[in-house]
Amino acid sequence: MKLKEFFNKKWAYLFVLVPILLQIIFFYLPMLEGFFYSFTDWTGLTPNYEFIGMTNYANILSDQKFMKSIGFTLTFTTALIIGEIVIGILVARLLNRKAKGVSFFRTAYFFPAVLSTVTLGLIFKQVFNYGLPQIGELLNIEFLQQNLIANEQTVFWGVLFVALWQGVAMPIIIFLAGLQSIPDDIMEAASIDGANNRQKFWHIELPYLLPSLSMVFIMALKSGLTAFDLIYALTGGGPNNETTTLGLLVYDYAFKNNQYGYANAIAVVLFIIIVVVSVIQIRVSKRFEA
Amino acid sequence: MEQKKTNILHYVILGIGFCLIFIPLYLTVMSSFKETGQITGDFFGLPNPFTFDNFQRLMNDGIGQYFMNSTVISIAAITLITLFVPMAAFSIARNISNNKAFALMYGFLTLGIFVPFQVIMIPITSMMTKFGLSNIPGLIILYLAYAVPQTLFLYVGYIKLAIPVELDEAAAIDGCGKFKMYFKIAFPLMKPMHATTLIINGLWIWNDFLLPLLILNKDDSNWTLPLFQYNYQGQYFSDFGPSFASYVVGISVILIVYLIFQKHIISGMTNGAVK
Amino acid sequence: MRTKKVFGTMVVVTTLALSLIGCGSASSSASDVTEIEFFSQKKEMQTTLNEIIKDFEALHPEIKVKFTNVPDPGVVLKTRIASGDAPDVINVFPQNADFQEWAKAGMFEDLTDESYLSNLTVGAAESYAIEDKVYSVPLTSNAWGFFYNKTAFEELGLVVPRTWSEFETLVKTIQGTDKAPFAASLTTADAWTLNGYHQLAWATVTGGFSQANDALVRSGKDGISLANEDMKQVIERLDLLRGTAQKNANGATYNDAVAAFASGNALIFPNGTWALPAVQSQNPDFEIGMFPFPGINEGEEMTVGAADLALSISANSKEKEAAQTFVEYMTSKDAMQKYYDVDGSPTSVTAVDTDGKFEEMAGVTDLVFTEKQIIWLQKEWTSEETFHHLTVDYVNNADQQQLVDKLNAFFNTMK
Repeated sequence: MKLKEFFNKKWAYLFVLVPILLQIIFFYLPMLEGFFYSFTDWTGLTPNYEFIGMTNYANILSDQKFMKSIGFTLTFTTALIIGEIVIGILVARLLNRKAKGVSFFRTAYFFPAVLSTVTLGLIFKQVFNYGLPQIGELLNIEFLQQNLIANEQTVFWGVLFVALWQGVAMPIIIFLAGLQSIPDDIMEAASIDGANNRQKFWHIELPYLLPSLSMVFIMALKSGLTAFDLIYALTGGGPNNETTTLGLLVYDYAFKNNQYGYANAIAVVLFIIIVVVSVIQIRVSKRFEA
Repeated sequence: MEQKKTNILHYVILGIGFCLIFIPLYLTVMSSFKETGQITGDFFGLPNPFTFDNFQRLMNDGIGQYFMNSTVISIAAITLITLFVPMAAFSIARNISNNKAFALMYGFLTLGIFVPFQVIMIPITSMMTKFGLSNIPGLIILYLAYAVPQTLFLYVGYIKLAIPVELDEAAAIDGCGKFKMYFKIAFPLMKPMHATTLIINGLWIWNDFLLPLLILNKDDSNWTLPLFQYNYQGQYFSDFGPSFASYVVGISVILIVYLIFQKHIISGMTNGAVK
Repeated sequence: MRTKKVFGTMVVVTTLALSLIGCGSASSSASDVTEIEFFSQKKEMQTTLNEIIKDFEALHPEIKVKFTNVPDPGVVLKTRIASGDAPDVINVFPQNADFQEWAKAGMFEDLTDESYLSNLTVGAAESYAIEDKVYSVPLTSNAWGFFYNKTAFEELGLVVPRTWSEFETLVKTIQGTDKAPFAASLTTADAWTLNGYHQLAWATVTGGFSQANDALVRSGKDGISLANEDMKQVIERLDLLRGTAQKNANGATYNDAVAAFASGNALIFPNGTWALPAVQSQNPDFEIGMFPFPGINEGEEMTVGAADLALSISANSKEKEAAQTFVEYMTSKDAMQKYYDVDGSPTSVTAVDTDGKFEEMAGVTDLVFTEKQIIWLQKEWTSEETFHHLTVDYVNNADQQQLVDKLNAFFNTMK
């Protein structure tokens, strides 16, 4: 009986216990270890290292690759968020009809989500290298005749296309669910009142989509900021470091260049930026809720 | 008349989208019936000769074992995630507005969302070795740990919207303890969110390459399907035939699972009233 | 209610499955057999190595060799050694910075006095000695050069170039035909394919391994400059690759380059001896030859290469005796003949019969173990990846100042 009372009083803490422990052990401890190594010149190979104070952090400031990588990661993330939301809503609206064949399309549009990024990289490399140039030659479009992910000017769009190709599948499903939660009579009433398509969207559908929107926003933000697999498989960060994301940069420094201490300094800076952005984001969204 | 025109336009747009989606799928399936030499030399052509050797190779190389491993790992990890994360989310959603400690915990638990895994890759690998957890159970624990931030975020948002506090109060009046209330009432009500996180986490775990590589590299009988798939590719020579065949196997499984659950997923998500 | 049922079933299934896995791994603990782990980085030789291990186990039933072969072995090995979990016998490349750091830190067993070293070409193991101690047994060596389409060369009346200017003329002549001179992959991911080209450009221009590294890694901070005569000549050599490779080479993968060469569309394939199996898997309908990187004058041509299959023993191994037995077996003719007959890379095991085999690569492999072969320049660097990237970046964008800046930024971290 005592035990039951205890449970009923402390349930809230018991419920969060396991995730808290897991995060401390498997996330914060390694982060702390990384923080420690960011003040050393450790290569990551042998047990020997020396403390070099803030040198790693000072070096970041003059690191061209780091600046380029921050720039790419941020623009890529922004484009991904916009793309996933806009395309997601557009397609979801098309799929939210009671017409013939729509259920087939609903299944088909989810397909990209199931491909692993390694497969995706392999296939799209070939598409960009042979497929598109062939189409370009047939239609005599000069722009398409080159390899779009090998050219410094166009690689951003090529990578973004592939990322969206896979990335919109989940948002479509989520937005579709949001749209289907709108009671039919509301939409019918709007039609009778003579609301046009645009009015219906802004005044009826959008409010219903807000929860889905915040969900998709966070998911896209996450996949942009932590992008690794797809870029690694598709461009390896090239050409000329144009598509090196922060995750890839840390990986390259730590594992390919044997500059583990320095890689950790970048990780720490990244972590601080993320904390600041998260705090701002929470503050802002609180203001909206109030 | 106008309506008909827009309808046709919609079909055209959906059709173009479908082609964009279909082409890579088609290429994957075609490649799985080609010999490796033809995949390198003629990626877009039809299989010539048409061969089942790649699939035969997968059987000979013991794909069954890896398939089993992946299935066990995915199911176990998802079960654990569905057991622990909504629980914590429920507690946080209920207490976050009147208890500072829970607001802090929420921040603490979700901060990991945006941190690239590469950042903690080395410390985590050496830690798992020291704990003696470089094995399948260890990998499952890691999946549980790394699923927490995003999954928790999704559940907290959902509970706040879809499971009103009044339910708790009503349950309390009926003499229902918090535990019972959670498992009997709140947990089943979260079904749409279970479906959503199941897809998100399921796809991630089923296709993940890096974590299994770091944790399970010692004994190849422990490998997961992605490790097995990737093992056909070397720096100097890649055996693309069996690689593509193994992708087809991996994809088919998820598609079958998706087709079975599709109805539940979409209708589940909508029934749950994304209010 | 139904959710709960499904969930309950899932829990039961999971527990069952987990207990099954537990049983599986527990059963492998036999009593009087010692088990050693052999970590390989030669994925393409997996099948042959497996056969050799079987032979070994038949000969030594008291030893069981666990053969570890993972995707991305370099990264896995790094994390395992950093975690204090080194395999017993490791295939690790002794010319690389990782190896040298590990050896200096005492991670490997000292093999200097092992009698089986006498099975190798004199000096083969010693050339990778660290502070006069041998930590690695180099069994084969790779070599970098130019594969070429012998049949097409004969048809077009072309000959193998003996000097740099002959090479330039040759490339111009091929450009006049409907074939591309080079089959190349100028992407970041496959930038490693041109590592040998860029390194040999430096080595042939400056005169050799140490002269090249004098210019690169020992030239003082920001010591590389466009005004430098050697730098100019290296740029000239890199320029030969500009616009002379197959169509869309800037986005081609390694496999695409292989295909461009094997199909006969491009006549020269700059790459290492390791690429032969990939080329042959495409069943080219022509004869393949290989020639080294031409020098300024005749007789100054060079190749670059270093140990490929090379074995080290972990200092923390619990089964050192068994590990030694295995490494000793690997230096025998029984083991290496089998390996050589498939791999074809020059071997340092003297007992192996190599006469008349792999003639197509002789143009380059004949130079191995002579003064015309240099070891990979990264033997004296702390990493190499960035060097690969800046090489293809230059070939793609021809920005000379950027090339020099990147070279300086890369080597400054080592100075």
